Amino acid sequence: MFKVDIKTVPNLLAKISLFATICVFIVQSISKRWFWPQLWPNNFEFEETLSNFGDAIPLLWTTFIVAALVSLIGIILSAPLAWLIYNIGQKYRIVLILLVLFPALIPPVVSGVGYSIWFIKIDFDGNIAAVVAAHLLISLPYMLGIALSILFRQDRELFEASAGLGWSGDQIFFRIALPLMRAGLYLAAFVGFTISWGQYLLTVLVGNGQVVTLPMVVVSLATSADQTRFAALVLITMLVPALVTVLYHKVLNKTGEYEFANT
Amino acid sequence: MANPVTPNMYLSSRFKFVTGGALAVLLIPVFYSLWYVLAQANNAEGFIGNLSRIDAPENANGEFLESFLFTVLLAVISSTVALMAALISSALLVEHSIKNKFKKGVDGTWFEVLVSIPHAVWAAAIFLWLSQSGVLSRISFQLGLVENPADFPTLVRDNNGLGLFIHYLSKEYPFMLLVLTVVLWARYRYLSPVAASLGAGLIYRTRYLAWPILKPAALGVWLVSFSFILHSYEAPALLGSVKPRVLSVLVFELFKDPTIEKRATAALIGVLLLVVTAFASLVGLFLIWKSTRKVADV
Amino acid sequence: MLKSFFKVTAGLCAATFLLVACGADETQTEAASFDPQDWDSVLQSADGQTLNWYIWGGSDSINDFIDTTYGPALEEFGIELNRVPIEDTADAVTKVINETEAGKDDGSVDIIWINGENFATLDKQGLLFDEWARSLPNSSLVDFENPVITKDFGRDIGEKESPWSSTQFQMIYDTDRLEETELPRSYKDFQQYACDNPGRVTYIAPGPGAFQGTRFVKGSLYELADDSSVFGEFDQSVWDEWSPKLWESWNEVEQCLWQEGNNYPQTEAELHQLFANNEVDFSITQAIAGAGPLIEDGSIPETSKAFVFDNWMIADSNYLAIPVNAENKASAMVLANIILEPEFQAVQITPESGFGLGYVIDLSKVKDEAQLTLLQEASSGLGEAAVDPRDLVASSAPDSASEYQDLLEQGWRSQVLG
Repeated sequence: MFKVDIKTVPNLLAKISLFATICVFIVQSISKRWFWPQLWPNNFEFEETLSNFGDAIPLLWTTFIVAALVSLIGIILSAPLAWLIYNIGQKYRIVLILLVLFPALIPPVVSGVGYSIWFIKIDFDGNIAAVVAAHLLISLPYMLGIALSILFRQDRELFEASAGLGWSGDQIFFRIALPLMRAGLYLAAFVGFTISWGQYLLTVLVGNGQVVTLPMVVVSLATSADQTRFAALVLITMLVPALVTVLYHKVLNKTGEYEFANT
Repeated sequence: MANPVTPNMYLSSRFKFVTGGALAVLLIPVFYSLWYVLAQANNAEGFIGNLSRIDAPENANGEFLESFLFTVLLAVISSTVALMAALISSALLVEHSIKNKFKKGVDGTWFEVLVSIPHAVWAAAIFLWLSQSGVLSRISFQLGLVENPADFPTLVRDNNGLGLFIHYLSKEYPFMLLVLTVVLWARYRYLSPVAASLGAGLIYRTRYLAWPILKPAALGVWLVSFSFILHSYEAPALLGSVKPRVLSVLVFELFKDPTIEKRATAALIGVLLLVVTAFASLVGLFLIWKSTRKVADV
Repeated sequence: MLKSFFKVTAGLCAATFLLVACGADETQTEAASFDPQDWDSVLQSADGQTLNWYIWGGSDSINDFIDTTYGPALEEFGIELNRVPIEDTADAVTKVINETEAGKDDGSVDIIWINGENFATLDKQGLLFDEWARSLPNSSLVDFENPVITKDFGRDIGEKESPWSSTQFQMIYDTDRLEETELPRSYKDFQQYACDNPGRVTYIAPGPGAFQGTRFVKGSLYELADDSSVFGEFDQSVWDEWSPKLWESWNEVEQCLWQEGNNYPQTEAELHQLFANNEVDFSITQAIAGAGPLIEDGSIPETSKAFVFDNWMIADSNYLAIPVNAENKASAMVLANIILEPEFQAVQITPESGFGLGYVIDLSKVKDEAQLTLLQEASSGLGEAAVDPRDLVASSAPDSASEYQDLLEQGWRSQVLG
């Protein structure tokens, strides 16, 4: 009898459901007219497969660039903001936190429209920077939250000791606080990437039709005739963040998950 | 956590200027956006006028209240059920890990993968599995359980939001489980064995030790989940039925129409949604703050 | 340390800026002023432009048709086609309105595939470029005396719209599942069929962007009143007289419909999926080539065929219109002219083209023998899955005044749905 380790059951369930879903979408992406009640498709279709995936590459590139920029700019903003909040007086702390939190409270359907009108007004609409800005506004609270939580877990005495040695505030930030926050910043970058990757409404509204990302096409193809192409795009949209997650764990979080939580 | 250092001591004015400035620039569209939406909501017949005409046939057509209740209930129920499941699972998982002396706690990689999958895609997957012409239905046919698609139960695109509930449950549960397990593992794993050796049973430990530790995190993730579902558009676009529509879908449809009245109504509903979210967040944040203080007092 | 921080940030800003510059629209030569009445100046101005054509992107076969048919044709005039797919034509309308509101005169929308209420919206706000549609060389092939062409949902098109194609509402059935004799031939028959076969039929929910549903219900309204002309001009008393009967007739059969009328497909593609998966027995189409294009792109079974009721199948034309703030009006006009070329009009009606909608030019005005033959051959080669053109003509009915569209959609939602 083999012992089932309870700890692995959730993991196993997650893996099975993912794997099964991916398999089904793969089958759909290489078949045509896969109507009910066919379990195994009657018509396979490989001619279009290559072009379906090939056509997806520009979409993949756009979505990836936006997400990468969001995660990068996000941590570049979150780290100093976290330091600012950490050191500033109680009075301003709440204000700053609320200022960052507030954009995420606005429903995307509302903020998207507002942002797009603003960008049209300053003649900056329909480009990647506008979309990145919109995604940033909604991811920043989460990224800042992670940065804050790791900063607050640090030992204040380290900072005070360096100050005692004559270091300036900026030096303490760059040479001590930042390195200590590194693991948290990696997580924040990962979170920012994931949030941006999955955005739909904001990109549709702010991108103004000129920035086309994978989720946009996935949603519009969901009830369309070409379910084959739909499945191909779903696969890419699903697998890239999955890959990024696994990579994050293998590369940036080797010591085991949430090591910063152990302090 | 007394802070003997004076505030601002480690912040050069240059640092404050640059960081604050960057934030300010980023927030400009937000303030404009707010102003624009408020202005739009005041268009046509003004706030009060629009509010009283919200259910006119050319506006929300009598669907506003239904939509509102449906969305709020969906958010509350999905978040609450997911939270309860996550609370129980995380407590059990952590206890199990402690008992078996796992050094690294629970490996959540695969749950993170689930969480990282976009909602639009996940909704598509759920539709694929659970629709009346989906995979489960086809398997049922092969097994002789159903004869045509209509025999298979309506699980998605139904009037009660079951499909949406399943979607949100399956997405929020891993997310909540991840966060709660991390929090518990960090702060509870030393307390538990000590308490156990002092004679505290599992239930006692869970109720009086684990729960206070989990409470702020639980409130936090519930709030995140609630706000997210309240605002969500992609999943209802794929898994929702013709009626009732989720508020975001209703607002989006109204906004798309170029007539002034419809856009004003859309903006108004958007503002109401924002107010509800802000209110829930304030209450939630207050509760979190209160619960954090209690732990410190203990 | 701070210096390197600034360097990194500056670098990132530069990088973003570069991306923006690359991602933004290609800088265009300033739209040279041209005279719409002077075709040579139009051609000259159009050369080198990129045409932003905002068009419903929900059909892959139509998208392919456009890219392969009009794309190369435009290139011969030095025009690069940028086909911008949109979910719903109203999106393009909203964009034009937004951009004009924000004071933008190099609008991103150059030309729109449009008709009906969308046309009415832009026209009412004065946002359409005027006095160009009859200056096209090929406009001489269009019969501008025919009200089916000159009236778009009851509204006069003037010189603001150039016709592209014609459509007619039809039903689709699967020859594998049903015999021709079992088909319903009126809306009443359809309702009877529903109750004889509970759960096996449905229709698209009327709503903005789902005009096919509105059209179906409108057809049943015509049948109830036994007259379509009474709805040609808007009259509130006519609506008050007939709408209660309309809601009653659909409410009576609600229980017999798919999912007992608790849910309806929201798009044509959803209905096709239900039909293909054997959840319902009928779908719809508007293509003159019948079920052909849909079979070609694999959305419905190969044994499908189009059919019509005996009457009240709404037919109409669709058009191209140019927003008043469009940046590339000259190339837009060239496109509208190309579309009216007899060879292209002949190709567009065939099922193989992927488009399958009817032509709008008047055959009696086509002088060239070869072109005429092309058109005639295309008409007779519509394929098995199409409806006999004589039956189409016999059952056709015009669309109503545009005011009824909203009334019908709103009324249906509040009186019939749920």
